[in-house]
Amino acid sequence: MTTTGIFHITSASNTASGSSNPLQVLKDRIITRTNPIPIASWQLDHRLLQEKSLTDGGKPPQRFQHLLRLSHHPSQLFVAVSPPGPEGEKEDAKNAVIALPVQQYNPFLGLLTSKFAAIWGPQAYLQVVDGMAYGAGEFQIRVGELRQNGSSTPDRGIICCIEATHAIDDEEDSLTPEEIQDLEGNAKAEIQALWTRIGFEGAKEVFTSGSPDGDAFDEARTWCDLLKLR
Amino acid sequence: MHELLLYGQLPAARHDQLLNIISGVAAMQPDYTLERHVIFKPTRPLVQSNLLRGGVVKSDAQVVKTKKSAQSTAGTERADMYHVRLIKRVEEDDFGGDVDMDSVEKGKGQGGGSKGWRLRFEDVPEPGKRAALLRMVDEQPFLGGEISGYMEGLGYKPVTEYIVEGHRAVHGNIVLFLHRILTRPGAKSISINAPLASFSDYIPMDPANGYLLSTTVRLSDGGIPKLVDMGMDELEAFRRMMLGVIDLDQPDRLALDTRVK
Repeated sequence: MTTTGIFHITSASNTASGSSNPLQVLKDRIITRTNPIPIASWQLDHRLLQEKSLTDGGKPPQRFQHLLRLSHHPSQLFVAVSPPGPEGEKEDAKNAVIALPVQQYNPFLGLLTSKFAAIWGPQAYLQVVDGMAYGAGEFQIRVGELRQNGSSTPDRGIICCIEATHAIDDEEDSLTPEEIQDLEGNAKAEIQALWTRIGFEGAKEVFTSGSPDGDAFDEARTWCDLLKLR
Repeated sequence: MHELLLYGQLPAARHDQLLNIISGVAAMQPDYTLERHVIFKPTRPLVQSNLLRGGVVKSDAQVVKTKKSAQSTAGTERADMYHVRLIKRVEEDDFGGDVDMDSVEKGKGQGGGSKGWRLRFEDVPEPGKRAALLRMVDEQPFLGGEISGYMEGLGYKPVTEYIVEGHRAVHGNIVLFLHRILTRPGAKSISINAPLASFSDYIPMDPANGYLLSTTVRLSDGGIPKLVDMGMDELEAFRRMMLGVIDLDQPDRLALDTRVK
């Protein structure tokens, strides 16, 4: 079972004393304060589509579709979509997430933008550059700079994602919901402690609500909620 | 991806004979296939398109007004909306069992659930006189996740469901599919998570129980004329070989139109 914490540092919230390369500062702090082993470079690709309004000049509904590709889930392309229904009807209605083979990234995107153009229009394209993944004990830390392609403000801050894995005994149904919540709470506290140790302030934090199965889908859902940048 | 397509029809009495011929021609044992098809339609209403609807004589003032409104909406795209289908291969064991509400909710149960579905998009066949029908198709396998929730979020709802039962064989680049369509009359709500009813509940859609032979060639790129010609030639050669056994023809192009009207 894994719990993931994602920290987003925008230039506005960055308090690293006006450094010109906050990503390098963050990487240095991770290396000095957590003594990690570098694993591999890390990439992320995120496409945002927005549902078109039904009538001309009408207010576009706030429904989004996301295509997400993460290099630490190499074989899967995640597609998430907000549930239908008027905004605010169900407060905690979660996005539905499915997975496609990662080779279908461009064909599926082409299909959505050409044949589903009556309903969906492309909105934003975010990528992580200079990304790096480190292993520090039972944590995996991934950092990178978030850039928006084709926008007048390409710099979208820094993203750091910390993943904590805890081994569970392989007995079925051995975890009660309270135990799961406990594990989750512990993991979240551990991740926050690690982040405090790294010492970057003012980041926006989101965590996955860990569930024993479907971890990757939960993580994808959390990423998509964050990367909407709205 | 593009597809070249020819169809032939045959009565039930000749099914076994044709199956043997296909086995001989393809030099392989045909693969018995059962597929569950669910057709989805966009939930949003169709917006009036700029199609010219003829047959009305208008006064000059009305013509000017129509032109103006057409111009003001010309900026927005009046893209077509299409039906799509979800296909899943099922086994004989997946049929049967009562429709149990608990299983429907959990998404488990025979023949239902989230595993094994693929999305198939078929475009309108291209116009023009050709030896076979040419159309763009795209298939996306779904590896998992909440497919039913995703289709709803995408803006689609299920409208029809049926079973396709047949045998598939391959001859060179041509996929031969001898099949018939089975429906379950009286099926109320359609859900991809719902388990399949017992096989005996399904009856052929064609009251005469006829079969269809579809012969298709897939092209990686329908924009390359040389590739299209190669596919056409192969399909034409097969059609000539089967003269006297079965007539292979193009269906009406607009009968395969998947656009929402």
